[in-house]
Formats: sequence, C-alpha cells, structure tokens
Amino acid sequence: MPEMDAAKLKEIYTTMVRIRFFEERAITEYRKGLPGFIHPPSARRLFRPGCVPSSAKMTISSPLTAVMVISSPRERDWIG
Amino acid sequence: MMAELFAKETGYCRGKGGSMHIADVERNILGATGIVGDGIPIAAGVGLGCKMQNLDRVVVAFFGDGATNSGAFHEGVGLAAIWSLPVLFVCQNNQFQQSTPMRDYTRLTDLADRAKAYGIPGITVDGNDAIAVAEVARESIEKCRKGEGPILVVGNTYRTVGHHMGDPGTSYRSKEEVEEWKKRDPIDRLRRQLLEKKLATEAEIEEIHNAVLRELDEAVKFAQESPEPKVEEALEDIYA
Repeated sequence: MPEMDAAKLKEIYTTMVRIRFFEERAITEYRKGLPGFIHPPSARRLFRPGCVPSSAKMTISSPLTAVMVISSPRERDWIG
Repeated sequence: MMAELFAKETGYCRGKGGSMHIADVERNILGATGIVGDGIPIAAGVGLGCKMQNLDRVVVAFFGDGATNSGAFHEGVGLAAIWSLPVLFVCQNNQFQQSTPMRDYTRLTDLADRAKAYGIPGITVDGNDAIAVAEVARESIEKCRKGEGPILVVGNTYRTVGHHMGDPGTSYRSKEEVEEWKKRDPIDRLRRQLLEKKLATEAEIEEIHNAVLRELDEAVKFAQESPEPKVEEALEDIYA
C-alpha cells in the first residue's frame, strides 16, 4: 500500500473537521430553536447540557464515514 | 444540508426529509433511513442493480454496531454475499447499542466475525485512526470493484456523547471511560500525525479550521434567508 500524500491527508482532515464543526454548529442552531424541529414536549430534554441532538448526529454520521467516502476514488459510487 | 435542517425549500430534500432522512441522489448519496439497519438491504439491492447492468460501481453502506443485530443486516449481507455484489458494508462500532454495551448484546468480541457466517471477508480497523481507515477503505473498494465483494469492514470507535437528545450518556458507563476515549479523538490524532510528519503546518491547520467556520456561517445565513416550503407542495414527493 503506497503511503498517502500530504494533499490526500489534508483533504481527509479538512472533511473530518467540516463534519465535526457542522455537528457543533447544528447543535448550536438547534438550541436556538429551529423552526419545524422542536416540539414542546421534547424541548426541555433537547436543551439539557451535554446532550447532543441525535438527529444532527444521524445526518452527518462521523469522521469515519468521511474517510471512507473520500477513499472511494470515483464519484459514481453509491453511498448509503 | 443546513437548509434541510432548517426545513427550508432549498434543503437537499426540499425541507421535507429533515435531519433523519437526508439524501442527495445527484451526488449518489442515497440517504439515511430512520429505521436502524434498513440501509443495508437497500445497498444490496443497488449493488444487484449495478451488477445486472454491468456498471463499474461500488455501493458503500454505513451503519452502527446495533444494526448488526437486526434482521435487515443478515438478509442484506447474506444476499450480497451469495450474489457476490459490489457492496462494502461499513460498521461503525461505537460499542453501544443505544445504551446497551456490546458485551450485553453479543458474545462476539470482534463484530467482523459476523462476516464468517456469510463466507465474506471481515476486516477490523481502528476507527479512530483516519489513515488506517482510509487505507482499508481504498483496498476494500478496489476489491469490490474487481468483483471480490461484498466485504464487511468494522471500524472500532467510541461514542463519547449521548445517543439522543434525552441521553446525557452518563448512566451506562463511567466518566473515566469516556474521558479515556476522548484522548483518542480521531481529528486530534490526524492533526498530530500531519504535524509530526511535517505534512502540514500549524498555520495551515488553523486556516483549514477558519475556512470551515466561514463556510458554516455562510451555510447558516443561506438557510435562514431561504424560503419555507410551499403549503400546496406538502403532498408532493410522498410515495407511501
């Protein structure tokens, strides 16, 4: 296996950071109260300190996903 | 994606998919489903379609460790195996099926062993090591492309936060265990590797972070200023 070059590793790093920061920003926006996503019964639980809204996590998955996607060299592959 | 979270017309799913069912078919991202494990047989189906049409494509399905206990996992992986489909099954093992630790739902200590039941390769990788994951991914995708699929890859990692909005993630594990795993953060790890190998400088890393923050500001602004979905379109894009 040839060692990955710097450009590829920085691309992977950038995507991982994009996912992490997106998740953090999405949580911030959730806590402000996004229209259509917060219904009163769950609102109090949603804002409990330290909790991460699962929906934000579900959407963007994890840095592991990012690495896998980036490692697929062809855009025509399907990601599910 | 941010616009979709804001339930706006400009979101990937025109504001109707929300965060749980986001998809972008134009980019070949078939999307998530709200049902655990249900993407697995869908991936097998798409893989079958690719094979029947002789398309040079690989399907990648992501799911958690809890999904490997579902019937959908066994049916989907089983069919993909018997038909030698070009599908890469990627299990992100965060060690908890919601709040149930792995030791309480399976006797296996390595979830890649599930592949043995279907006669396909099962590969275990340190899911917090980005370089290792990338290498396994590249090798596995190429094998699938050459007709050696399907393959199951299990990335072992750890969920350091709660499973959902009402779960602080503190009642079913120790604080010490969580803190220990936080030290293995995959982003911090790759950052250190880049710096140690002199593949990036601190300034470059900082600029990457700043550029992403600027991009997110733009995404939020775009979402805030986007129009709401039209009421008269509420029943469009509904298939069941």
